Amino acid sequence: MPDKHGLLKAYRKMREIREFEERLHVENTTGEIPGFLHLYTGQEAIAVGVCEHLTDRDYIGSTHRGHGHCIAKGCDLNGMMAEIYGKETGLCRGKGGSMHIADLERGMLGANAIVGGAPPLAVGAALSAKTLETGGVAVSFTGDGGSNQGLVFEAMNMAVVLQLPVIFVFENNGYGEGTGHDYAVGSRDIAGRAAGFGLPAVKVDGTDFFAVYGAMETAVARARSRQGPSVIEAVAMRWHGHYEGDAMLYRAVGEVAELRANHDPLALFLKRVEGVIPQEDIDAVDREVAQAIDEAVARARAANPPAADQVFTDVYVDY
Amino acid sequence: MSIRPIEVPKWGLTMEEGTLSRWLIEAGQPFSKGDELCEIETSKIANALEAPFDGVLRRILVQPGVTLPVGALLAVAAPTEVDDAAIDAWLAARQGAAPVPMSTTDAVAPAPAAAMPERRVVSVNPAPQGLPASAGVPAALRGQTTDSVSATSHALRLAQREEIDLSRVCGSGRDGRISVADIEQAVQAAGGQLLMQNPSRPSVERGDDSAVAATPIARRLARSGGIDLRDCRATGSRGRVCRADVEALMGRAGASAAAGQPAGQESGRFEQPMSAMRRTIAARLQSSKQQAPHYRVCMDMDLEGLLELKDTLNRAAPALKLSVNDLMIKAAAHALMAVPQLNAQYDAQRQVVTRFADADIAVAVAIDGGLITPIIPAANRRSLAEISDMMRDLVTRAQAGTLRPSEFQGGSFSISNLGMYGVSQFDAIINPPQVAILAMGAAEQRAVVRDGEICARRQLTVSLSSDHRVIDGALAATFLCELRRLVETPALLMV
Amino acid sequence: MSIKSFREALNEALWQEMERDHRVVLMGEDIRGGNGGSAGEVEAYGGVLGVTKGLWSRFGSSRVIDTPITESALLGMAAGSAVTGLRPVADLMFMDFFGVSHDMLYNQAAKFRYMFGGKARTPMVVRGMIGAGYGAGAQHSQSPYNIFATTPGLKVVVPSSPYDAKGLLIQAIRDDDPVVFCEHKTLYKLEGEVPDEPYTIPFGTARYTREGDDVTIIALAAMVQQANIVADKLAAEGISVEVVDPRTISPLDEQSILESVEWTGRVVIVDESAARVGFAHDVAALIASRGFHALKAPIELVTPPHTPVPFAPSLEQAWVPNAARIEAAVRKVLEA
Repeated sequence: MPDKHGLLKAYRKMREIREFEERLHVENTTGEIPGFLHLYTGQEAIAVGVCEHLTDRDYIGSTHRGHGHCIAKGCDLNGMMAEIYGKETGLCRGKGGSMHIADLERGMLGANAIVGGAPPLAVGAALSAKTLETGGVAVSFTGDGGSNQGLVFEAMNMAVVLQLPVIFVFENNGYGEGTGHDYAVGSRDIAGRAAGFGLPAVKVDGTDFFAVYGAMETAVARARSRQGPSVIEAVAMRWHGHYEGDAMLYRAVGEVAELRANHDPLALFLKRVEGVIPQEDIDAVDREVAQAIDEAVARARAANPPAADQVFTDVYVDY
Repeated sequence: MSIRPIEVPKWGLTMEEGTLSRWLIEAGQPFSKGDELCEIETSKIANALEAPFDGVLRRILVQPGVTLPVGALLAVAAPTEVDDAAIDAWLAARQGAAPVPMSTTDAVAPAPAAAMPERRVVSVNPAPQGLPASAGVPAALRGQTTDSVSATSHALRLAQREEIDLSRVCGSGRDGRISVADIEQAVQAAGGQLLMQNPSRPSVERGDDSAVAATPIARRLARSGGIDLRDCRATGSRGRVCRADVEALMGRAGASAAAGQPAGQESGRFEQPMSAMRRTIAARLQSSKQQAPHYRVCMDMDLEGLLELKDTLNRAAPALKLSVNDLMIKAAAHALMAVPQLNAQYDAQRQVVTRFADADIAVAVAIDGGLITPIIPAANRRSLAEISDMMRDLVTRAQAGTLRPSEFQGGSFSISNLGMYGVSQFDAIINPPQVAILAMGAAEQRAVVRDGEICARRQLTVSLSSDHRVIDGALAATFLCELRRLVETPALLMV
Repeated sequence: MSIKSFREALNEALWQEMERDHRVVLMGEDIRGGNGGSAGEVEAYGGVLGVTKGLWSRFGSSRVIDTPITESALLGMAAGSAVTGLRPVADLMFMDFFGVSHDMLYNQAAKFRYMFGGKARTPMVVRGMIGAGYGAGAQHSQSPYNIFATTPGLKVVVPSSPYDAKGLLIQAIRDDDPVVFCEHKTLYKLEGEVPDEPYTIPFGTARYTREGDDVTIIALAAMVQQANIVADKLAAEGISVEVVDPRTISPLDEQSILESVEWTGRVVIVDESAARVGFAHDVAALIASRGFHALKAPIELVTPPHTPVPFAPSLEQAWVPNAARIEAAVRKVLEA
């Protein structure tokens, strides 16, 4: 388990994700944000529980619901917000948008708009780490919807065959777009199914930071000691729609309210660390985070969109 | 700002020199860019030199009537603060490389701007030695290219043809690769011009629509209206663009057509730049007349027998439709077999005469805006029917502008016939690199003396122009004798 | 300099680059062959047609990686490792298989650099076989390089000779962008002079295999040989044919193509990839828009029919463009 310092750091990260996403939920209604948004609220403990074990030399691949992973991996909030607003100061200079936020220096291989797209890329990053002996590991995040992709099965098989240091994290947030996981995942058991590929697979409560953290600790140790890949299935429902604007007719009335009341990862975390971390530290973090988010939005709003000639740049290194 | 030269400009592809006809500005006067400084005439046009920059005219160096090569110094411009000594020094420095001015010409008329007076330009200096295929490559770029230059295949070939040193050309392509366009740019920047000649194709410049079949009026109208004939529909006779087609396009173009009207288009006068075909014809024939010492030998030929043979054949086989021309082509081909020295090409540079086993006879055909010489290959081995059919096909396609290059380039001998216009006799210019050409006049009734009696006989007169470098008079006469023998006893053509 | 086959030239390129840079890693199905079999440590294949023979023996399993038959994971692994420090050369075996793997190339590798604002570098090569002529059937005989070329972010290489094969493959490996390297299977045995030392050929530079004045033929891969046959035959008739082999279609050497068209004015484009929306159509549009005034005749395209590749040899021969059809097109364009 992390020490006090580590716990506070983890809390800060989760709070950043929460406030970032909730702020976007509000700001999106102004119409200033182009394109689609897929919000991570309710799953914060997974991203942070996983990424607290990672450094900049480790790589993660994400999904279209990637803001949480970006923040957990250490990407700059201002850069992220500007990218979502499509401004030239964004992490991708406005060329990628919400679904493609990346920061390779932080080991973030990018949010990925192709469902199931991250696992093979993570396998590649793991191959680099193993071949170049960097000691790094790679992590892919995939949803319950993505877990059915053939690509994902291929990637797990490849990782086992080549014994690569990769951890496949499946975030079961209850729905793949508008379809419940209990319909789409035939075996109703993502981890159980993955185990059939020949690698250890555990299932944890994704709203419980400590459960995720513990499972990841084991998996990372395996990977770093060259014992091969692992699977973690973390279950935590998402609070918002598949995308912002989704009417969520596939959810029962009151389902989200119940989640907010009883399954809030941050509330559960705070309860666990009560007495361990002083309340004023928590409050200070809350204040700082609120301020940081305000600043990120203000900066993103004020920044310029990319110049027209940027359409043509960076297709190739050189042509 | 410093001392700057005013030089003889290069107007047009082949301009090599110009004659200063008069100054429009005096020494000491300031001028702005675009002001007319002086008038210069060439063998083709008279035009005013526009100032390429703002300045003050300080020294006039050349007086009216003097002819100078392109690039030669006419005058010097410098700010008034610059003193005369500095200008002297500048001139002295420059004079080291200055071309020698040519002598004054005779018959100088002070030319008013509108008229195009007759000029006789006499130049003392002969043409520069060793002129390569294109006269337009500036000396600064001449040379041989070494292997280590990165250039496209066509750029390398162009450099080889035109003797350009590619190490002096800037390449704009990948890794500094030099393209044809780069060479063109470099040549132009150095004040030259390139003739892009593909031996298999006539040179066609960008924007040149002379290959489009069009009525003469349509062509004139298109030119003056700035319309490209290739943009027009062709609804005229024989598939040609006609006046209405051009007018249709001009109506749509509206203001731009009017703007395309060149200045100086007063009623009753049409300025018509030479088409590429005309320029080519002009250059080739001028060169032929200048290089080959032409002399002519004429002979009258009795046609009674030939005409009877023609009529007999045409009656017996009406599909034939033989003409006198067809028979003359065959006769000439046979005559060339007997006197093969005239069935040849002369390469002056290599000093070699190439004889041919077969007579590839080129026949001059008039087409819109010019003439072309489609070839009957191996005419000596072809029947009259074949020659006749081929001529019909070649003439049709010549006038439609669809001849293939191989059909009109080459040939070992030429025939030109103006008889259909009633011309009794004329002299033709040799088609280089051939060594002779036969000009035929009209078949006409003449009063001749036979057996001491005057009678009426149908005859024609031919005139053979020969290149005296290769063909002596006796040989030319021998050929004509042989030709007459065949013409007057046409049964010999069957042998 | 020595005589080598197209296959040997490729093998040499891989060998020399792997010697030079430890980050060059090969991955693919049976590029070694023999993993997990009962024969023990053997190189059972060295690639299905032998292009990677000997490399496993020299460089070992960490640099010559046999994968299961999972093309998606193969290309995904290549993309992910390329963007994180390796220089992978993935062997897709038959380019026809791009269907099962394409997202990783099309949506991922090709777009990383652009989507991530210039911060990603994806130096990967995907090698694979193209071309009909061996009776391999409809799913193993296609040449989908036109599809790769239409994707911004990919570079596409189609060599036609052993010399080009080695130089271009070395260039591809050293290139920092994703390169799709298409090897015509009928050319593997073609022999030619190839320098023994490593060398590169810059992308976007065409090669003229014949110079001429009357007609231009533009051709790729196996069609270049066919075009040369036609050029040599017509030379005897006094028809002078210029053959332009672009060698890479992305980037494309537009200048060399247009210069040739401006010179001859008559063009025949022969392309095995497609009857529609193919390489030939792309080049024809280029010529029509930028070389129109030089044209003396309409552009002639020689492509297969718009059908899958048939199996029976008599049918396959009718399907693939050949010298006779190219010659007919050349004559047609000369008559026009």
